[in-house]
Formats: sequence, C-alpha cells, structure tokens
Amino acid sequence: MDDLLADFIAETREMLEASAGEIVAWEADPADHTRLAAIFRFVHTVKGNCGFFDFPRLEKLSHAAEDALSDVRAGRRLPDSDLVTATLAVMDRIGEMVDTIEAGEELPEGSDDDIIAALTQHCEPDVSAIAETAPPAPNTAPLPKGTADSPQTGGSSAPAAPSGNTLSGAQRSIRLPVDLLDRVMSGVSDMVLARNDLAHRLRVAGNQPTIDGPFERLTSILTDVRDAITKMRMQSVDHLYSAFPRLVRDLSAELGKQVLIDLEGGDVELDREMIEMIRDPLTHIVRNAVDHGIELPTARLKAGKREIGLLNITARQSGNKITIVITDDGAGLDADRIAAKAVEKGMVTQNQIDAMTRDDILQLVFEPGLSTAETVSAISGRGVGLDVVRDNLEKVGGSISVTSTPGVGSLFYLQIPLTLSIIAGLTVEIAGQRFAIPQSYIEEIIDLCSGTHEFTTIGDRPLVTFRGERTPCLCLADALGLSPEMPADQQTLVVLRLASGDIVAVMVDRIHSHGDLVIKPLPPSIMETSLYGGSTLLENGEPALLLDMPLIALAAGLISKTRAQTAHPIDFKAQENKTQAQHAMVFTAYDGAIKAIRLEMVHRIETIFADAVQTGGGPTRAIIDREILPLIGLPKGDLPDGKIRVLRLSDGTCELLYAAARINDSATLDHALVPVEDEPFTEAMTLVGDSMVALIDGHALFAQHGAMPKPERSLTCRLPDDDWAQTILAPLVAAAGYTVADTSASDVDIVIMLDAEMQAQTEQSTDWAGNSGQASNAVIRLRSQPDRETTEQVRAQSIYRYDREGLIKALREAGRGAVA
Amino acid sequence: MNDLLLIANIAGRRCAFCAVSIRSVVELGTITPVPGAPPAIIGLTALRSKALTVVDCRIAIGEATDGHPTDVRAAVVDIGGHSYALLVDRVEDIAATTSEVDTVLGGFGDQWVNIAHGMVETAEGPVLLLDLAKLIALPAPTHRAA
Repeated sequence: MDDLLADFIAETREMLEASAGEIVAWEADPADHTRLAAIFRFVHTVKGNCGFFDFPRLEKLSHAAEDALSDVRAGRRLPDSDLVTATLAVMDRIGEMVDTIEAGEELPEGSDDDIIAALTQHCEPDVSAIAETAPPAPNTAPLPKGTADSPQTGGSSAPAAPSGNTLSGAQRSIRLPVDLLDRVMSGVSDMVLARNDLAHRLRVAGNQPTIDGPFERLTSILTDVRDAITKMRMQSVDHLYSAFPRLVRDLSAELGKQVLIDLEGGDVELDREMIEMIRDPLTHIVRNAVDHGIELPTARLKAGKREIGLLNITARQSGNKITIVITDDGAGLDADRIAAKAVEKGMVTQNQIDAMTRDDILQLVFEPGLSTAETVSAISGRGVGLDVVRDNLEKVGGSISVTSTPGVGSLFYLQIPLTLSIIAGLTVEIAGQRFAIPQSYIEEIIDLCSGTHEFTTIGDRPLVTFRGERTPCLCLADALGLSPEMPADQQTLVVLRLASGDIVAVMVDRIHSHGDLVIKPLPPSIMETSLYGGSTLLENGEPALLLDMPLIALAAGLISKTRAQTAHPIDFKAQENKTQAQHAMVFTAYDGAIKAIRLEMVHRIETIFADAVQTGGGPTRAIIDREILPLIGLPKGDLPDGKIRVLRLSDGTCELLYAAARINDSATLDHALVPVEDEPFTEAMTLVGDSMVALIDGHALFAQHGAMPKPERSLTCRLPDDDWAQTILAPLVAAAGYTVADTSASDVDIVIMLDAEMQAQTEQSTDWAGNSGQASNAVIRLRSQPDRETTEQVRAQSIYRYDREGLIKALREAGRGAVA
Repeated sequence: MNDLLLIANIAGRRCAFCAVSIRSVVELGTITPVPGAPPAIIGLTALRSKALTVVDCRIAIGEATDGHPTDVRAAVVDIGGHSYALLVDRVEDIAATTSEVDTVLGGFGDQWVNIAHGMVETAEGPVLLLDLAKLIALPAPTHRAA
C-alpha cells in the first residue's frame, strides 16, 4: 500500500503542476474545452484516488471541484475569475494535504466548507446572476499563497506551493527516467562482472588474507546494491491486480452477470515498465472474458454450471519470464465461427482452415480484423482488439496464446520477459563450448553414467525415465548443430520444467558451475536464430551464450505451446483416463528373465549390501531398515558381490523383498495378459514395448512368502512428563540407543522417574509399574540432590539426575533385565 | 567534406568507415562461436566486460574468405544499441575526405553496391565508403515460424 500511496502522491503532484498552468490559460479563454477537460481530469483522478485511499476530506474537496467544473462543461455555468480562483484554492489545498499525507501525518480535522462554498455558491442562482452574487472567493481560502492574489499570479505560484511546503523528514519519492535506472543497472552488472573476474584471479593467486577480507566485504556490498537496484525497477503484480476486482464487479453488474475473480501470484515481481506495458492487454482480456466468455446466470444454470462464473488470473515467475494465465469457465471460444469469419474476411482460405488444428484456428483471434462478437458491445467494443494486445506483448518480447474447450472455458496464456538482467544460471559444456541455462528451469540433473535412470532410444529419440515417465531427451549439440564429445549414454542430462509445465531433458557433455549471470542482449541477427536469450561473461572473462530453452524445445517439437500448468478443467478427463491404466515395473531378474510387477505393489526400490542377506538353511532373508524380511529372486549358490537392488513389495500388511539384477522401467499394461499355469508366481505373460515379460503373481507370492515385518526393535523408555526430562534427558536416552516412548505409554521396557513424580506416586499410593500391567518393566529413579547430600540408602535407590555414567549404566542393566 | 574516415582493407579492397561511428580499434581475444548464427557472425568476444559480436566483413559482403588473411585488430562500432567488432583484412589509418560521396557508372559490383554509400576521395586515394547499418543487417538464416 505504501508504494501505491507514493505513486498517488507523485502523480497528484505532477498533475498539480501541469494543470495549474492549464487553469490560468483556461480562464483567459473560457471557450477552450481542451483546457477545461485537462483540469476536470485532474480533479476527477484525485477524487477517484481519494476514494481508494480513504481520504474523505480530500475526496469531498475534489468532488466539489468536479461538480462545479462539470457544470461548466455542460454549459450550465460560465467560467469566471471567481470560479478559477476557487478552483485554484482547491488545488492548493489538495497540494497542502498531499504534503501532509506524504509526511505520514493524519489529515487535520479542519473543514473545507469555505472553499466548497466558494465553488458551489455560483450554482444556486441562475447563470445571469453569477456576476452580482459571486462572493470574494479569495478571502475564504485559508492558503496564504497565490489564492489571495489575482488568478494569474495564483496560477503561477500554485505549482511552487507543494514543493515549498514540503515537510522535512517525510519519505521523499522522486520520479526518474527509466534510462537512468538502466544505466545504473548496467553499471552494477558490470561491477558484478569485474568482481567475478577479480574472484577468479584471487583464486588463481591463492589465499591472501589481507585481500580476501576486503574482497568479501566488496562482494557483500555489491550484493546489497544489486538487490536494491533490482528492487528499484521491480513492482509486484499486485499493482496490476488491484484494479481488476473493481473492473470485474462493475462490468458484471452492467451485464447482469455474476463473476468471481480469483487472483493468484500477486507477489510475483515484474519490471515497473513491463507492468505498464501489460496493463492494457490484461484489462482487455479480462473485459473480454466477462463480456463474451462468461454466460448469463440463467444460461450457466442451463448448462449445468454454477451461477457464478469464475475468472482466475495467475502470475508465475519461471526463469526470466513471467507467465500469466487467465482462465474463465465460460462458454469458450467457438472455433468454427472463428474459422468461418476468418475465411469470410479473406484472412485464410478454407483449405488452410481444413489443414489447421483446432488450437491453430483459435490463435486466429489475435489476427487483425477478426471479431467474432455479433454485435460490438459497449464493453469490449471500446479499447483495443486482441490483435493490438498481441502486438503490444510482442513489442516487449512477450507472447500470447489461447486454448479453449467449448462450454468449459478458455485459457489465455501470456508470457512476458522479466528484463531482469541478472539471473541464476547453470553453465554446461557442449562440444567444448560453454552455454548457460537459467537455473529456474532446472528440475534435476541426471548423470547417465550412474545408471540410476533408464535411458533408451526409440527411433532416433532418446528417452529417459524420469519420475516414472518416459521423458524425451534433446541432444543440445544436435539442436545447435554441433557434434557432442561424449557418446549419448555418457552424457549428463539436465531435466527442465518449462513454464508450460512440460518436462524436457536435455543432454550436455558436462556440467560446469552455477552462479549469477549477467545477461546482456544479443544483436538481432543472433536473436533470429531462436536459440539464445542473451549473452553473459563467464568468470574467465569469455562470453557464453544463454540458451533459450523454451524456444529450443519448441523448435524440437517437445512442448505444446498452449499447455498450461494451472489446474484446468479441460485436463481432468485426460487424467481420469490415465489413472485407469495399470502400471507395472519392469525389471530383469537374476535369472536373466524380464519380469514385471504391478506398480501398486512396489513399495520402494532399495539397495542392500550382500552382507545383510542371510542364506544359511531355510528361506533367504535380508535385513532392511532394521527389519528382517524374506528375500526372493536371488540365484542359488553364491551371492552377487557388493550391492543388491531389491524391490520392496507390500500387500498392505506384509512385506517382502524381490531381488532385481536391473530395474528397467515402469510400463503401462496395455496389452492383453496371457495367463500361464505351469510357472509358479507368474500371473500372466504380456507385451511391454516389443518384449515379452512375465507378470509376477503378487497373490501367490505373498501367500507363500509374506511375512509381517519383525522390527529389530530397540527398547523403549518412558520419561516423566516434565520439561527437564523431555528436553535434557530425552536426547541422552535416545543417544544411548533407546526409543523414547510417549509419556502416557504403558507398554514400555524401562520407566524413568523423577523424585517429584515418585513423591506424588507415594501420596496416591499407586504403583506405576503395577498400573501399567507390566510388572516386569524396570524403573530407574532420578533425584535432584547430588550424591554427597544424600544418605547411603537414597543413593542405592536412585541416581543423581546429572550422573550421566550412572544413568547409562542403570539403563543398560534395566535393558538387560527387560530382554531377559 | 573533411570527414574523418577509418581506412581498412576488406577482401583485398580498400574501404572506409566513417570514423565518428567507430568507437575504438581493438585486438581481438578469444572468440566464442555462436552455433546457428549467420555465417558472417564468427562469434562473441569480450571487451572490458562487454560482449562484442564479431562480424567477418568479407562474409557479410559475400566475398570469398580465402586468400585474404585478417587482421588481429578489429573496428568496434555501436549499431542499434549493440556493439560489433568488424573483422577486416587490415586496419590502415585515419584519413580525411577530400570529396563528396560519389557513385561511378556501372556501380561497384553487386555485392559491394548493396552496402556502400559510394566512393570518396581521400589524401591516400579513392576508397569505398561503407554503410555500417547495411553491413550489419545480415540476412536471417531462418525465417521466423508463423
């Protein structure tokens, strides 16, 4: 709110200065309507803003001036010097109040009736009477400056008034040209580069305490300055959002609709200038959504929807882009009508339409000259069209697309660059050259050499199994037209989550480092390659290119342009279908056969050491997480060396382990299951991809081998419900290898009591141990008095609470007793 | 008249750039290639914490690159807010013009006429005055997908 207030003050000041001159010129030529309009606009704006900020006095004042001026505009009143004087008095008073507001003080209780009277008195008599009845307005104005003089001098001194009256100690705000900010910003960016260079040299030179100290200081100062500079340019999206609830409320009231607006991500920060650039486009889309998108309540009820339409605006930052998604649950776009209209206007031919996908047709709404509204309504008809929206966004390097399902709603998807010139990035090496990738996209880095993720090539498309999904890989060397140094299976994969939510893995030769990168723009001839987002200088002073991952992925066909990550009703059906499919984990058993097991059964994939496996006689068992579980699937005879991968299977209560030589992948069981009878533990054979796999019969497996987990549990110990015991004693007991039980637990092996508790117990003559029904559990008594202050008898029965060794010894003895 | 020119040799031809548009003449360091960029863009190089786009003038004009070794020095120019380093055969000298820009009948050859203002006389003989903006406006390798 403080930002908004500062904006309001700065804006009011600026307009005050501008319109003071206007008002004088207007008086000189009362017929000049443009001047009048400018003044009217000022008081009108102030009035609007005051309502927003709750300054009733200011609002009343500006309202009176607006009324008077609108009378003049409507011809009900003639402007004369008294009116001008009164208006000037209003403006001065506004300036004075703005100063008070800026100083952070409450507006004084005083009344402005004198000035308002000066304004309104003209209204009472008819136009002809004005000249005679006009009171000496200047005298009613309490301001000493300007207003008491003739209008002309008043006009010239009015702008000076606010600055002259400015109270010291107030938080001053100034307006700066963005160019200047840019220069400071690029200066700071260069400082970061120089610092990086220096850091590199210092590292090479080795440790030099006399230099390292000041250098550290320089670094931290630079970080602070950089943060401040960045903030100077940034503004939260809330600034943009603040107007929408009102807009939607007014629009829906006007149209007889009910619309609920939901704003998300208001804390996302964006360049101030960028906020201004996208304000109009966003407003337009919101207007459109309310006007055309959301249906009338009756129509909504008929369509089986809630009466209240939902409009959601979500802003997210992803890398150096801001994504804004505007969804409504209205009628959606009519692709057929758009297509028909586009053909009718000669924008495309019918043949082209036939070849286009539905999504492509929808994008035609951004073409100039296409408006599907049957009648241009008062709401959406004014202002800009969607083509202008797109042009404006593209001008600042943004993009817009739309997707829609008839009857379900539409989704507008905006991407705007952040113009943040310093970003966190990862440097990677491809074919001996270093490139940078924005850190924010990076989901995970996978080293293919480690073999933890399955990597295959289907046709020419490499695929990696990431979080159970086959994820397409893009060889960055190929995308850039280079030849990779490493064979495909030795490359490192960088898994990216793009703003659209698509997951893409890119293959690079190796990873270098990550850190802050200063991004500089590239010349247009390089930008046209659609591969790079900018250039940066590495620590060694060499330039490196920042890869534009979304564009590269888009060019490779790896992302769908209009898919959005926000929860979206259109996606629900697809998800439902997905969950119905049965998934299985495919693995290679130790006998070499490829087997599959239903994914629901697989609790975890674990790695155990061979020495945790016991084969001596009977069934094979292994220790895992301090539990002994049956292990099947191991070859007879010698155990494999080192680590063994096991699938930890669970039927809900029982668990068992199944050894796997290699975990292949997860797969969907979409082929027919062919039952087999002769093989034990095999439910059926089926096709996964192109190979035949045996689906393990979980039922038979658990029927024969299932075992309740037998935890090799540690002894439990109950402590008194006392702060000292819970904070000081509990860690000691836990460190000694005992499980600390709940204070109210009765089924414990050892009970520790404090003297206070013992006393209480004696008073109530109850036996804790007896109460718990576990007469066997051992009791350790602690007392507060040190050994030397107590009698031999007491010492034998209890232990001093800080006698660590004694306590541990007692625990051990008690533990032995409990086990025995 | 009496404008200062930077005389340079490009693909064996004597050319000149308007000296006021040349920011400096620098020795080029390591050049980082830009895969996918137009062939005339050899890469990026760093100059005092700024990245310069290195343009091989011979390729930009459309001349053959062989037979004309290039200078280690390059002219740095700012065009459209971006800094370029122009790689030429040899950076010669600064000279003052002694005539207006003129054309000659029959032109300077197809490739040269596109990027030249025209011929000017200097104390060191006639040179072809090049239009920097046109030299840098390289043909896009691929058209933007619609």
